[in-house]
Amino acid sequence: MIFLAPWVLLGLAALPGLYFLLRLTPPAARRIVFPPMRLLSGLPQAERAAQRMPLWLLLLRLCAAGLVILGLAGPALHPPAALPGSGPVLLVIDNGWAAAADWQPLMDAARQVVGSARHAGRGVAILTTARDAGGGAPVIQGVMTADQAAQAIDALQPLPWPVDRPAATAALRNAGEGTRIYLADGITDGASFSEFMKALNPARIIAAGRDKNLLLPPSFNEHGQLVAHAAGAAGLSVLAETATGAVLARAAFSKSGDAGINLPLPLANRVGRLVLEGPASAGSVFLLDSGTHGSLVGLAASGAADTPYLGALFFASRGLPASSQVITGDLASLIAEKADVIILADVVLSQAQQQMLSDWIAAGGELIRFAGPLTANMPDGLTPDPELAGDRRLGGALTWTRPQSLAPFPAGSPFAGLQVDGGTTVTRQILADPTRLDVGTVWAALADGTPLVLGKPVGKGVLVSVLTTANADWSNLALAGIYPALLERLIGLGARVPVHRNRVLPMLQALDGFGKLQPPQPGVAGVSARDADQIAVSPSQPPGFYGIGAAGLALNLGGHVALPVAAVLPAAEPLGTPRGPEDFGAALLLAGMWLLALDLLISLWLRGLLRWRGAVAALGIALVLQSPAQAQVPPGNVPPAALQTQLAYVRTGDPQTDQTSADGLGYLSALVSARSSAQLGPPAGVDPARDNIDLYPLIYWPVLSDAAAPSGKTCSALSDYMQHGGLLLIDSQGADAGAPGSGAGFAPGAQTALSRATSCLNLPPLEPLTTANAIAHSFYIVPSFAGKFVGDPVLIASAAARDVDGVTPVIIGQNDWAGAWARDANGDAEQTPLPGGEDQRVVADRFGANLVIYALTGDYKSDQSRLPAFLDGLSQ
Amino acid sequence: MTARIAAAESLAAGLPKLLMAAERLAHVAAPGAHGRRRPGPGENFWQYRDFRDGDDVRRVDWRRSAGADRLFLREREWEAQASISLVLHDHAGMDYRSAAALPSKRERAILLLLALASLLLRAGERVALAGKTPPLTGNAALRTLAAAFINGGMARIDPKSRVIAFGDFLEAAPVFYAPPGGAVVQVLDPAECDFPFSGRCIFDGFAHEPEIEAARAEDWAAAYRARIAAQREAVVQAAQRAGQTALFHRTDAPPAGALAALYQALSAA
Repeated sequence: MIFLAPWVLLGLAALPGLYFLLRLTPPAARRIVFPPMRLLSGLPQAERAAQRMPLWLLLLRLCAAGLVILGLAGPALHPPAALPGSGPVLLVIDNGWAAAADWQPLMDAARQVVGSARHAGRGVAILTTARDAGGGAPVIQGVMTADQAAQAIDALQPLPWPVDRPAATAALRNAGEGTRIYLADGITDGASFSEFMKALNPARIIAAGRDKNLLLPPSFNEHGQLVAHAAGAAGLSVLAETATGAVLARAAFSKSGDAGINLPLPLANRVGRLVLEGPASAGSVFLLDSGTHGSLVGLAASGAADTPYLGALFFASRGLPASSQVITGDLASLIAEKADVIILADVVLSQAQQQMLSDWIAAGGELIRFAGPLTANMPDGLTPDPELAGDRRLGGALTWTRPQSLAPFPAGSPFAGLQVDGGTTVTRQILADPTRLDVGTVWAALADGTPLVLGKPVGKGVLVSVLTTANADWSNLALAGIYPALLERLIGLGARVPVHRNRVLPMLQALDGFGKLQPPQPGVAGVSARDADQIAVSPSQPPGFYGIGAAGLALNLGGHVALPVAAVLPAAEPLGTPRGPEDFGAALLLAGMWLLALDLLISLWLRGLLRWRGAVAALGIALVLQSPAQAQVPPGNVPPAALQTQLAYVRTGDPQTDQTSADGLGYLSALVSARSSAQLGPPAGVDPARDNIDLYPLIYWPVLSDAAAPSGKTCSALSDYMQHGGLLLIDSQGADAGAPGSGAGFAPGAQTALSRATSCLNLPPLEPLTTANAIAHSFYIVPSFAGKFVGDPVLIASAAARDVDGVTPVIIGQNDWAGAWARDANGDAEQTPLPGGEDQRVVADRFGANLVIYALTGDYKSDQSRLPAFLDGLSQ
Repeated sequence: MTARIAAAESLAAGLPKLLMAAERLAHVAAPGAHGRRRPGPGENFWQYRDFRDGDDVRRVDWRRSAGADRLFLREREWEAQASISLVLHDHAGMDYRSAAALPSKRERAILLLLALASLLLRAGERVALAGKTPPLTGNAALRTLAAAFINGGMARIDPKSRVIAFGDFLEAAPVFYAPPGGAVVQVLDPAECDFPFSGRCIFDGFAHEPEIEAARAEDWAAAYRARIAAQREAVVQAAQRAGQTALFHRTDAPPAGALAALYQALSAA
């Protein structure tokens, strides 16, 4: 044990003086009102000095004073360990991306070293091995006092790029003699690590023992599924988050470091970043840009499009990148299903279809048209440049020319950089009108200069015209190795401004060392898409988002730094749980203060100013203030719902669903409590067969697609509940039949599960819920009854089957309302409503609030719907 | 006030009606409800006696005389009524209580006084609050008496009525002026009897006396107790000289005991 301020202990010498002083001072007199004063007058007066302070009170006061002095002297357990050697201490700290995972223990170790140096009165020099944000090479920050060093360490942050071993080696070579302590992140960061160790030695090494995890660029597997890759992350999980941080999916890594993220494509495209669970670092975050987003590609052709080897789209559908998902159908259904890209192979368009398509392109769609015999003779207006009717044949029996190969792609074209192979030839094509041709729209041409691919942005979208067929009829392009590469470049242009591959993109947001997005530092060089793959992350090109407007490019550590390789560190000490000096002076001070407070009470009592009851009350108040506020416990066996109104949900046995229900109803309760005068408690999970459900105004019953038929007791309890004023909300969470956007397919078998679950219920006749019902305006005015999905119909009891007040006892739907309501502990939404996103969630929340108010108040608002009629009647 | 009356009545309910000995009331001239066990003006039959010379012929009871050969007179019992004055010797010191749980001396004295009044009124006695109310009868008079404590009043004191005085009687040389047959009830706080103080104390009275400081109050206890005992003895002596019964009551003792002692003292003999 040591004292941080030992000179305060001199105060203990004053204690004997205090002793005599206290002995000399008699306790203050009590004042007593007493009627028989006459009887007291003239009684012999005793010696005044004889009245001494009682010994126990004297000891109490001395004890209190002693405790205060000891507490101020700052006693501490576990003094800092002694440092080897003498002279200043050089502290070498790895502060690259790999140190972030162990940052807190590393900093604790550094503070412990500085504490030891302070205790020994030695100076400290600090060398951080990563380049600073301005790109400056590591330098030794000269010998400073331990206090300055502690401030410098407090200001240190891990940086989102690798350490610079060669520069650190150079700095170490120039360092003087002295004790060296190396706080290592545990990876080599390149080949020059042995040089670095040579320059460092001899040194005491403290190493972070944790495996360094680095998320690598994800890929798409053959099913179009996003697959995350990582180095050293076996057994961990990865979270797929939206750009705003909402978690869409969670997947565990296999032994080989792969994790397939199981999301439908529309959701997969909303994934903005992958985050590795575990300690936060820049390496455990992977930002996704539009390049990693899959596209929904709609294919349409006239005739049998998928006939093997002959069909118009046989090759195109196989040449599409793995990240895209293919749908087929007529034009209207493709647009309705929100395809990102539509490929038309030799389709003749009516005027109405042209208009529909050009509107769709202007809103962000990408249309790729292949030519063919049907369209060759009747060119329409929906092309980048006017085309000539008829076609041009090359290398046939009646032509002089040979089939033409491709010319190298022009620099402004999206294909720029792809290598043309000479074997690709075109034997037949249609021609763009050369007199009205805009050279900038030619994205690919034949060797004789004839345009082959025309394209230009239109509105927010892109219109591309390939002047030959999508199959092998007119050219062997569809058989060439370059065909998938061309399609990959084409897919992904829609709705995103085409990335100019040579243009330097400025930084939008930067990742910090802990993987959080921050505003960028000034002076950061931009990157261009062309050489994005070769960039090594550095202070001048830190990881983060680059881009202009919507065209973004994400630069991540994964793929742009060396893979982490565990460093061989001889005689390295592990990062233990550092035990800094434990200062318990505050506890002694507190004890001293308590004794002084007790002394005050005793003094008051001795003077008669305090009755016993008052003393007990004061002590009680002090104890209550000392102890944390106790929660009020409901007395006896009263169910909590009887004391505070609660919503309830039926437990399904599936923990995920139950948690979602609890979170959803919890948010709803908080919303209604905040917005209205109803005060709701946290929701309760109930089993209707066993629990008493009479006390809940609203019960939410999620019916899972694999749910078994409910037991007889459950049925009778729920039927009873419905008949006696309860409101039961049955939600099959995505039905297998319904309107577009109903979530059909998310829960196959839901419809049969619903009929199975409700077969034994005594359900009234049902009718669809419309916005004319009081539920639509009991609190908010809601335009629809959306939840996580927007399927219709939502069913309620028919008017004849409602109770006297016209309140329905049951609502049946399939919109997974709890999924839309659910917020996690931080208030972030847990699931994403489809297709409307946050706007749809607002509607869902309002519908939920309406439901609660409806359940609590009945139909008092239904008069409102008849108000116009009333007013009409009054005015006549 | 209602609570005070209720407390007094519940206290008095434990005792039978208080009837003063007729002999002790012989000198009281006013006729009243007391049967004096001798012939005289009254309503109840007392005895028949032979007609003697000088008796008024109109007093002959002809119905009784017809059954015999002598003349009889019908005599009635002489009924008289006691008048009792209740006195509270009140001053600021009567407010004293040594602990919050105890009643003050005044509260206890008034309780005893009203309980006694309730007993007397139920027995048909005439009860006055000395100097404040005239003699009153009937159960309803208890309210008037209690109200007189609060509202005060002015009335002539019947010099012949018996006096029952309540107070702490801590003044030097107490003297009582009252017709014999009354009682003196000294009510004291336990702290005034026992002097339980210790340590350094400053004593202050109710009547602006100079303060008295005791360095060690416990040293005074023995001397004080001797003085208070002498004071009590002086009260007893003075009461006996005036023909009064002296009674003593501590506020920490149950009031029923004091009332029982009063009852005995008034109904004895």
